[in-house]
Amino acid sequence: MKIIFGILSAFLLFSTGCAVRQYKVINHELHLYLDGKKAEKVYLLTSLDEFKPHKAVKTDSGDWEAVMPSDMEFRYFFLIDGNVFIPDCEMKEKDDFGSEDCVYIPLLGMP
Amino acid sequence: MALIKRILLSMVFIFILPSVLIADVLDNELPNDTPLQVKERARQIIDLGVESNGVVKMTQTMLRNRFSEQQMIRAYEILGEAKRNGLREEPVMNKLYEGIGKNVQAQNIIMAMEKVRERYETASQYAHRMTSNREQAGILTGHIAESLSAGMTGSDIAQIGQMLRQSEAQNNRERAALEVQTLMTVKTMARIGAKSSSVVDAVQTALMNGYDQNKMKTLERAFINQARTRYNPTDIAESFSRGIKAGVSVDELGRQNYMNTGTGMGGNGYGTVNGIGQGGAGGSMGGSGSGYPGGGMGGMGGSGGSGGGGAGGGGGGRGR
Repeated sequence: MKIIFGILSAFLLFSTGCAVRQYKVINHELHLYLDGKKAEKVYLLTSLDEFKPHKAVKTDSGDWEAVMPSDMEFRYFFLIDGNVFIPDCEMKEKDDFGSEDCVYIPLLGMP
Repeated sequence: MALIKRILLSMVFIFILPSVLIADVLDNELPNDTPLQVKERARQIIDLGVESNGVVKMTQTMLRNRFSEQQMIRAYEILGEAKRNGLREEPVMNKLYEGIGKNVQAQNIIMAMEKVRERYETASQYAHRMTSNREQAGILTGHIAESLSAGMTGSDIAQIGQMLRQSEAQNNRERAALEVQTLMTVKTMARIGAKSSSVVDAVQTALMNGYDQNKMKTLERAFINQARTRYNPTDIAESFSRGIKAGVSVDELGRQNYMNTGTGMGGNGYGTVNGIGQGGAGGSMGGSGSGYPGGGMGGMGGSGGSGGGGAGGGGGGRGR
């Protein structure tokens, strides 16, 4: 199962050309940056608001930036051109659909 | 007579008015062509105490995403079952929204909602074995359920619960704080990717060595620090276990180069393709390790253990 998930993730990563570059906490806001120059539309979905899609913005450097509150724990994933993308984050949980979600924990500053 | 009138009026307010209001909420907020059976089941879970706005929103979402009548009814049943067993309904509802966000088929979303309900029920059982305080059990249930999601096994959680019951906490408040922090540490370690058995080993060793809430919190942070240095999470958990047993302080565990010490990793031996493998270098507290027999590619040496002298892991076997 893990192997299949790994292959799928690698495929998605390859096909979208995306990876989380970095994150920053600025004034109680968590800024997540995604490297996805080939992507046309990127959304961030989190457990904070019933997984409503939040449109990410393309920065001058070509990265995608999404902003969320930094003081609450949440699970998240991205939609890149309609495809689910789980970045290579430090904390993960199984999602009950055969994949995973990333987890952000505020006090520990985990992306 | 006036008194009877007043009592009857009060009864109307208490028993009938809420149902009328619920009916109003559902009738006003849901489309006219919503199947009657769906409305009826939605009403029933509101009667059970599930917040009406949440039920309306959930129903609207399912209708919009073309769930069948049967699937919607099953979703209410799962929610109702959670509510009847005293579980929070948000995690179950959230799974619906997550599934829709991931464009998962309705049938698989229903199955995932059921998995969430089952996980929280299991978690609640473990929590109630740890404490008789209802509020505390509710808090522990959330942490346990999330730990299970992160890869902890039920039997390992049960083992931690048993250790916590035997902890040396001085009073109920200290014990409650230790229970919560221990499970938070477990959850963090599992979320970062440490194997369940290694997590339980590290945490149990900490509890056996009298860790209180503060030390447990420091252990959690120490684990994160080490994980950020890109060591394997399971190796970190195992090295923490060895370190605590060997008397290493919790502050030391979080130190930047702790994992390079013998207690941290012991020495990983390695085998070469064409020759005899080499044992890993032992750290200051590393014990002797054993090497795996060499396979076709040269075996991997074993990790050095704790205690004892400075010898590192055993060498890998002879290569092909």
